[in-house]
Amino acid sequence: MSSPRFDPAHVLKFDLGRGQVEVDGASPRVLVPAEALLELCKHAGPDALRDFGRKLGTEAGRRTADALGAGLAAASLEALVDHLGGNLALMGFGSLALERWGRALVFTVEDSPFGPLGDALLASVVEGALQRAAGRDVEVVVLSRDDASMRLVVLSPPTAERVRSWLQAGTSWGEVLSRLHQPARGEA
Amino acid sequence: MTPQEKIARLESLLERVRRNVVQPRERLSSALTVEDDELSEEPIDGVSAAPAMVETSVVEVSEPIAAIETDFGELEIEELDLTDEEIVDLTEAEELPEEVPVAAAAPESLDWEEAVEPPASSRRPIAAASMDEALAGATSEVAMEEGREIPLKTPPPESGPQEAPLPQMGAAPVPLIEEADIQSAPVAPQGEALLELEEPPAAALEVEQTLFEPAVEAPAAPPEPVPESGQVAPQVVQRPAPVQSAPSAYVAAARGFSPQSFAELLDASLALRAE
Repeated sequence: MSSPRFDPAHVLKFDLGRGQVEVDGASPRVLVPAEALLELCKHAGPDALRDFGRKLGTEAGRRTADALGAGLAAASLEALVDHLGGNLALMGFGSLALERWGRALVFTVEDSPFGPLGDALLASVVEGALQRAAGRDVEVVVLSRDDASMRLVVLSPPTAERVRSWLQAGTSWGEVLSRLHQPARGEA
Repeated sequence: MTPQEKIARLESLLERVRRNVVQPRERLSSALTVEDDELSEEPIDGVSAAPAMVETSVVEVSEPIAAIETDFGELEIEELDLTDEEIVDLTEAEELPEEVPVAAAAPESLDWEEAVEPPASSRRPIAAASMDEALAGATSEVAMEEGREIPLKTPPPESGPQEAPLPQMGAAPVPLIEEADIQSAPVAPQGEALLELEEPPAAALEVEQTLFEPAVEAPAAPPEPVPESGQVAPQVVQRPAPVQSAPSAYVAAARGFSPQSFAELLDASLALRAE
């Protein structure tokens, strides 16, 4: 069954008379500069930043789930990237893509307005969107980062904690992906 | 002996008696005497009284002849003066073969009424007036049935005083006539109503001769030459020894993973473990 394509037509509504911006009939939005928001995030704690990011991502996940409907469980990779990436694009968070490294689900975000300082915020947004859309307890770990793009891997909470330690220890993201696919001890 | 033969025999005897009557008595007696002498010259066992029987037989036959004369009284029989040589005894020539004993050729065998068989017909039963007549009739019927074929009689009806015998359960079933038997059974010709059938076209019966050509036997192979020593050794082909190296190599290959949906890939990624 083919999923409907993401259609952004008439999603944003600018009411200049009232001075309000609406996204798909939801609560009013506020257009703020990215740098101001990033400066605020710098002074917030990790938990506050994570909760803030998940709250932003939950809104994107809800709209994605509403668009796919009952076909979300069977939605293809392209369909989910189309809808989730479209909603994140409407929020101005960059361009979302998906990579599959073996069994590892990896998202890439390009042209984020936050830069390297906003990676944690962006990871929290994707994390909140997947939890809302797929209904699973997931953690998103920043795997790599370059000038224009960042790579995010979707893992379970215990695995995400171990991967963070590996990354802090200086393990390359390729080695991390390789380790994730190595068989556990006791397995053939 | 059929009744016609009996009648012919009696007629011949009648003529003979008439001739004897015309002839003088002495000649007849001499003729009988001669016969007596001839018979006495050849004694036969058990026929010692044959001359007396011949003598009496002439007298006994005279009585039925008188009865026959009354039956044939209307016929004018021309009497001819014939000598003994001219007379041909048709009775003896026809009826008495050479091997027949004298007793069988004696006039007493003319008692033909005992040999005549009754007709093979059944008479309508007549109710006997008394028990003696009924027993006598039953006895005579039994005597008659012993010597001839018993005509079939319809069994009495079930509603009569005597119940008809029930059919036996073990009786053999009536064989069913199958259509094939009817077709294969010979049909009696219906007189002149035979139809001449036209011969079928010869083309329908043509058979390709090539299909039934006898297979040509292959020429027999010449016999293999037998070694002069007389010993024939078979050609033995042995399987070569197996190669000691491994027949195949096992290479482990990673199972391909191609998720059909985003949810499948998400679950697979969440299942990854970092040891």
